[in-house]
Amino acid sequence: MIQVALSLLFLPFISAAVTLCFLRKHGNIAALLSVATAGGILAFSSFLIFGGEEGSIFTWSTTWFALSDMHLEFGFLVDSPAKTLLFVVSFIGLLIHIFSLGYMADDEAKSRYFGGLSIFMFSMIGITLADNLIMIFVFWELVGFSSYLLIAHYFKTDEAAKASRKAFIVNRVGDFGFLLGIIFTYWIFGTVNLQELEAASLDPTLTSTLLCLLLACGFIGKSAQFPLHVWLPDAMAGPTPVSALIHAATMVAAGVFLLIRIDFLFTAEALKLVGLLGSVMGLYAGFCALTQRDIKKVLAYSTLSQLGYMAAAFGLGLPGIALFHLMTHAFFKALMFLGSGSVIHACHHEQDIFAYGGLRKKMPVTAYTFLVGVLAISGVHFLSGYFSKDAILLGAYNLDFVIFLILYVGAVLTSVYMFRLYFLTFCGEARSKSSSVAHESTIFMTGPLLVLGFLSVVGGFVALYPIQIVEFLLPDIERVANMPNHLWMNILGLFAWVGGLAIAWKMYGNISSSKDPLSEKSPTVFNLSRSKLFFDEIYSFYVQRIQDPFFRFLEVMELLFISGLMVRGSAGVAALFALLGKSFYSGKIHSYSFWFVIGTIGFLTYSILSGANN
Amino acid sequence: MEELIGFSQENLWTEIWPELTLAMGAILILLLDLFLSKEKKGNNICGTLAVFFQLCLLVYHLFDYLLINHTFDRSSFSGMLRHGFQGDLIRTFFLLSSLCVSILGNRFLQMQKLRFGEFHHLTMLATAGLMLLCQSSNFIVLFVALETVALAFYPLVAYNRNSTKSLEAGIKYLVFGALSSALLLLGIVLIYGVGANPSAWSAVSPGPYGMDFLSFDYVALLLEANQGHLLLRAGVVLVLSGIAFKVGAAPFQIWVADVYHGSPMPITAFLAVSSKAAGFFLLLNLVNGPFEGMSEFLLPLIGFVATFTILFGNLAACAQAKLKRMLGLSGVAHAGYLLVAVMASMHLAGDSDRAVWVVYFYLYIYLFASFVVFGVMSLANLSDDSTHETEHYAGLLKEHPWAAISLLVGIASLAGIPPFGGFIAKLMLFNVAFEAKLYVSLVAMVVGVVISIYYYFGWIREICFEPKLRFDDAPPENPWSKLGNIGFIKWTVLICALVSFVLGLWQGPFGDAF
Amino acid sequence: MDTFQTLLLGSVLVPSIASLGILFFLLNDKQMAKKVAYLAFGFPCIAGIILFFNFDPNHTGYAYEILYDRMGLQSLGITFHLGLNGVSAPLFAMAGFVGLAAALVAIQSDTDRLPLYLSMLAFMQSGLMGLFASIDLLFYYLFHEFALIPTFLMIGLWGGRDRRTIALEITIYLTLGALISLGGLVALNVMLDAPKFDFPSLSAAILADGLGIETQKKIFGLLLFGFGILVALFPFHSWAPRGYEAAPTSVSMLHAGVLKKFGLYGLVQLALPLLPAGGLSWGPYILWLALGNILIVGAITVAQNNLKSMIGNGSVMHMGYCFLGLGVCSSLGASATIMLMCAHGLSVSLMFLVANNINQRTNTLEMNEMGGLAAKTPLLACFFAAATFATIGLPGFGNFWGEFAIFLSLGGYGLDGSGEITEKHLFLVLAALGIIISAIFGLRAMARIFFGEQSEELSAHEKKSKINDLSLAETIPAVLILLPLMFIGLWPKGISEGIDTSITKRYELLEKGGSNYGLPSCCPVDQVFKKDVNNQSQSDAKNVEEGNQ
Repeated sequence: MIQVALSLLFLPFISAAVTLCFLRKHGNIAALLSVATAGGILAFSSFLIFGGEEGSIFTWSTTWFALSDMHLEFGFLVDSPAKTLLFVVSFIGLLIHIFSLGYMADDEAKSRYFGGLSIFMFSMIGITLADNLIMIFVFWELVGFSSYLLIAHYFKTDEAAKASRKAFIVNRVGDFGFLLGIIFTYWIFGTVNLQELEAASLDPTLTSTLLCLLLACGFIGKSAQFPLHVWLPDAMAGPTPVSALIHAATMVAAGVFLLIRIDFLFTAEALKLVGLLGSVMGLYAGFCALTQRDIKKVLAYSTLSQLGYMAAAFGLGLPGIALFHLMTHAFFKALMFLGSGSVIHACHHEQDIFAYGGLRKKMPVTAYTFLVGVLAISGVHFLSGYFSKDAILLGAYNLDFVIFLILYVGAVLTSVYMFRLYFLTFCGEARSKSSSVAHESTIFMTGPLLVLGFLSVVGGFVALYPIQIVEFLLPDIERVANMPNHLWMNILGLFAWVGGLAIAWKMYGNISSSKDPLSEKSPTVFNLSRSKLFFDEIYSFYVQRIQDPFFRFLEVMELLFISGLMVRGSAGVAALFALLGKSFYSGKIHSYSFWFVIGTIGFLTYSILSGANN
Repeated sequence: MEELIGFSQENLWTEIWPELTLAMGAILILLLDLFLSKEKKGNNICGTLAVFFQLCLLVYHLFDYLLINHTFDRSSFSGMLRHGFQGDLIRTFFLLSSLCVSILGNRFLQMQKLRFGEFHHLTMLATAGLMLLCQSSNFIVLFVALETVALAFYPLVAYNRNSTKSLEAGIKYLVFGALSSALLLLGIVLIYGVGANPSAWSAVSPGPYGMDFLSFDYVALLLEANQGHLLLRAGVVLVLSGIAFKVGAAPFQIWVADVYHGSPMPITAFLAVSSKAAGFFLLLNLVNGPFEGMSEFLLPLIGFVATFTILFGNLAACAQAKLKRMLGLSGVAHAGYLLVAVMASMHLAGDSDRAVWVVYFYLYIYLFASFVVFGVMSLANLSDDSTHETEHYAGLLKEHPWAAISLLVGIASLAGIPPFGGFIAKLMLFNVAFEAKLYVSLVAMVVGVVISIYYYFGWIREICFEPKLRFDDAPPENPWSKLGNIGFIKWTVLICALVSFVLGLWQGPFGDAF
Repeated sequence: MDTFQTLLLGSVLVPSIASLGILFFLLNDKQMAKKVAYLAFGFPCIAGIILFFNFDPNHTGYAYEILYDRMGLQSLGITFHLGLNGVSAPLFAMAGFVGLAAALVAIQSDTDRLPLYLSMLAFMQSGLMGLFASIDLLFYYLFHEFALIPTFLMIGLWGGRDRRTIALEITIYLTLGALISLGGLVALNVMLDAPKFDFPSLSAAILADGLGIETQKKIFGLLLFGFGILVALFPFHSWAPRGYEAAPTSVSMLHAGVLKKFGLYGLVQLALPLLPAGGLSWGPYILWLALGNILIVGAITVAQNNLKSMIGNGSVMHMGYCFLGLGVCSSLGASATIMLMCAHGLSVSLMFLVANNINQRTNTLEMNEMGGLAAKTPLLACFFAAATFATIGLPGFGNFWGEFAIFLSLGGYGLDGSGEITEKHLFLVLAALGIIISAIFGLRAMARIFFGEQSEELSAHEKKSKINDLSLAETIPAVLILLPLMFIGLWPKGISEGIDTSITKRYELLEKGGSNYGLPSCCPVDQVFKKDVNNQSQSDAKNVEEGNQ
């Protein structure tokens, strides 16, 4: 078992190393190697998932780093949530690798791209398998790094250069809190091992809200939650499969996974705060998504919003549902991102949805699978999204009505912007040249779409999965299933998606201009949504007007006071004295003799004053 | 004949054979010069002879010292002189220094077309005087030896009669030398006045043998018993002021820059090394001998002088453009460091001899480093050697790498940079100063050494780096081409540099003694 | 002498002999000088690796000891004493790696008067190897100065802008630091009067006699400020960025990477274990000054436009972490500092190396005048990214473990023995801000140099000379540094075991506190200072002092 786990973890690492060291000039080989690796990962992780009985937990660890009293372990903890995430990561990872073969076929830096993907797989699997917080942190940073690398794939554009930097730095801000949280955890509980922590957390005096919130900072950064959400929309500057894999299906969901891993530490207040934060994010991101023109940004905001749902589910005390939604969301969001990738690829990297239109006829596979995704995310009954999302709504309705209200409005908005996206892209007439000449993508791209489309349809039926994958979800699903008001919730859900569909159809069903009709109908709402509530402006104001000038000010102060006054100043004082010393050298005997006179008198005076008698 | 032998045995004339031989040699050289000076080659013969004579003497002395090994302390001439292991070290020091001065002198005299005979005669006489001075244990011998030395130095400083600078330096040295001798004499007289007057004091009797009132032993007893006596205190400080003049300690240091600047190069070296060292050997003898009883009174005074000297020397040296002045003032700073060691020896008196050894070691290191520096400087083809500036050294590394590297070693050793001897000397100095708890002086030393880096490394910079961009079009003359016959100096410089280097890593017998 | 001792002595002697050989015989023979240089730098590197891997991490004392006690200063306890312990072995190996990489850079750079350059560099290398191999304190200091002198000469001879001034300036500044620390060493020697002036004898002497609190504080202060200047502790750091900017690349690599660790090494091996009370009372000041390094110098680093001065400032900033590890006065902090020293030595020299490669291609170091370089030089971008991410503490590179363990030790420091979050955790919080700051300047540099559009200046330069990617020869030194860096990053236990063994035991005194000194144990600093204000502890301290003596 341990050999499997180690091979699972290091297979992508070796693949990345080989790619970056030897295959830099052989993009196609690198691509094949990478896909093969992804296949290997799926094989190994299946072995790991299905290797044990139901409910079995596999652990293993070895000392990694020991100083003084501190012992850090490198260890694996394959329990039920890890198995679920492992399934998602390896399965969707493989699909996206395959998709990339088609999408990146013409790219000139293929090996860098696939090498980056392999690094990402390595780090993501690391997070999934890690048995302690520090190991999670290590891989946490590494996914951040691979995300940076992949966002910066098109580094020649300023956009990618800025976005990659922003993503990493904003994540670092979150990690700052996460790191503090880990350190406090270490000192307060005496361990960072997840299982030991779980045992130790039975003592309620040790847990505290502050600690939970610090740990949750990691989630806020990685899952792009308020107020660190600004990096995710920008991160869409990376290649689309990357957005699908990292910025929709897996990495950003790792934040939620982290919360689930440490949920026993959370106090009621912390849970409530996370839930509230998540639900507000669900609403806010949906609102922002309403007016986005870039197809990927719509999806990015939608991701933010769905992550908010997961956080809300976690906050409600339903981690199983959060993980459930994570899984279904991974299917349909990956599907939509890949769909959008297919569209973008077909339209020669045109990303403005108002420049699309009528693509349904030209690329039917993409269109219909995308539609499945849209329906799923909107919560259309009996598709995958319906199960997980309605479970969240139902849970919220019964547990916390405020959160429910916010989430429900968010659900309506989801339906609106998703259908808006679908209508603008696939219906009506082509609104630009690039979309009028588009044609269906190759099998490399449509294949994964079909698979994901299938999963988006049936992914909500928990009973269909092998028990090892979903064992963590079942208790919470059962809990929600036993809650009252099912019917009522079904009706409300129906209203939500049908209402959204109706609004979207009315406004975007058939437009020909490239102007957003909302800007005419309700300019206030439009502008507010476009502005994204000024977060970017506030941050850039901070960076450009406060941080940078302050840093430059510090530099000047250092020049003035430390290099100047302290160092040069003391040299200057010495120089002054040196000049003074030089000035005594007049060369005249009589002025020199004064020294002798003064010296003699001084010596004699000393002998008198020093307490001589008689 | 019988009487003669008796006279000799009573006074142990053999104890001062090196001094006697040297003085004889000096006279011989003068006589030889008288007969040979007509011929042109006579000059060279005189010079070479002087060098070989001193070399032989040095070698023989070293053998004598090493083989017969006079390590026990003894006195001669009815206690007027005192000899011993330290005395032999001192003699070796002065012979070494004098030899180097003669070697440097030959080149200088040749370049300036001056007479050789008198120069070597005076140098050797002065050295003999210095050797006696530092072994004296009586104020009369001390003063006579001191005056011998001084009288030999006055003409030496003014030896280059073609140069107004040299003559001016001679006058200045004469005036201030005389002044300081007068102060010293006044001090001796005050001590004698109190000591020889039985009514003035009563605590100590002259002892069973009827001690000489001016012998160190007697004065020691006298001062021990009368620590608070005003006249004695005045006498002591006046004697010290005379010595302060010799070593160039503030506030009697003011002559140093001008006299060093004007003197012929070898004499500058002679002043810097021998004359200064003599002051310190004497000072050590005094403060650990006759003046020991007054340590408490003297320590603050010397402490102040040391601190002031260190700071003044280093700061004033920073602003000097002319190298000889700079070296003179840096020598003042070194005098300050050595004064700290002297203070430590007063503090630790009876505890250990370490501090005394530090002074010896430091002076030896200073000797080797100084002769490397002055040796290389004296190579330069400058019509007037007082014009030396750091800029002249830009071409040295290319023309004569051996000279440049030796010079680097010398400067680094003076600056106290490891792994050269100067560093070990300073380390030992720090160590004893710490043992003696002289924290203020330590701070002054650290500050001083840091400041000294500026001018020492400023010089190194000119030697090694490409010259600064100049906006006036005339680059300084390159004095390093066509040096002629420099064999002796070359070997002197190389050996001194090597010794400076070796002593930094391996102190062997020195360290054992320490 | 067995093989390993020979290797140890050889790695100190071979470079210096090679240096003299080149200086005297090969100044005009470039090819031969290069060959000799391979030997001079290859030997210590290989010896370092062998000695490191052969070192038994559970060995508490020194291994491979060589002792020669006829140097001449035996009465001061000074002997020629070499050996390695768990702390010095990794640093020794690190010095070997960085030295070889620096030499390869020098050999490839084809500067004028290359043999002289190599000769001085070899001399420096000999000092660096000797520094970490010395058990005797005087030789430890001597070897440091051995390495420092060539720095002055090489900056002056081959340096960049303003080299004449800067060479002199940093020499004066560093001499000040060196002399102050020498004062501290001498004070230790005089005060303890141990039979030998080396680490183990002094430790034994301090256990036997001990020093009074006040004495300890003073000596520690001397060592702290002396070493602090040499390590560029805030606010004595201003020499470092200027110096590194002006110095030729190999010198910057060796100085920033290895030589600067001299002071930290002294503080870890000497000052803290020997002067526990001094360490405990200076601890908070160290922490505050270290925060100055991290936050203020960090902020200044962000504001830099010149690549080399950014790296220089960045290295000063990271020294702050090392001081934090020292300031907490625990074995965890100290061993973390050693981890970070190893890793930082490698990463910062990699940075300088890559900066040199960039400079060779762009002919400028102003980051505004670059841009889009990754398209032309993907491999170079790769190495720069590796160096940057190592510097900003990405896991997988050694720096992460060092920084992380330091943060952890700060966490323990803040607990104050209570198990709760206290106001002393402010140090931790502020220090951890550094991970954001370093990410900002590292990634800004990455983006400005390699991403985005190519600047006009660069295009103009490109017309004159084509921009090529790294050649195989140029990648070798970078790989040479990257390998150990990743070794530490991926398998920190590889070096942490040895460090732990040799630190933990010697820090018992410090950690138990200074109960021997009448100080409460572990992080008692506040109490000490509060008492000092009330002048109450004065008498206690005196009593203890008397009791000890």
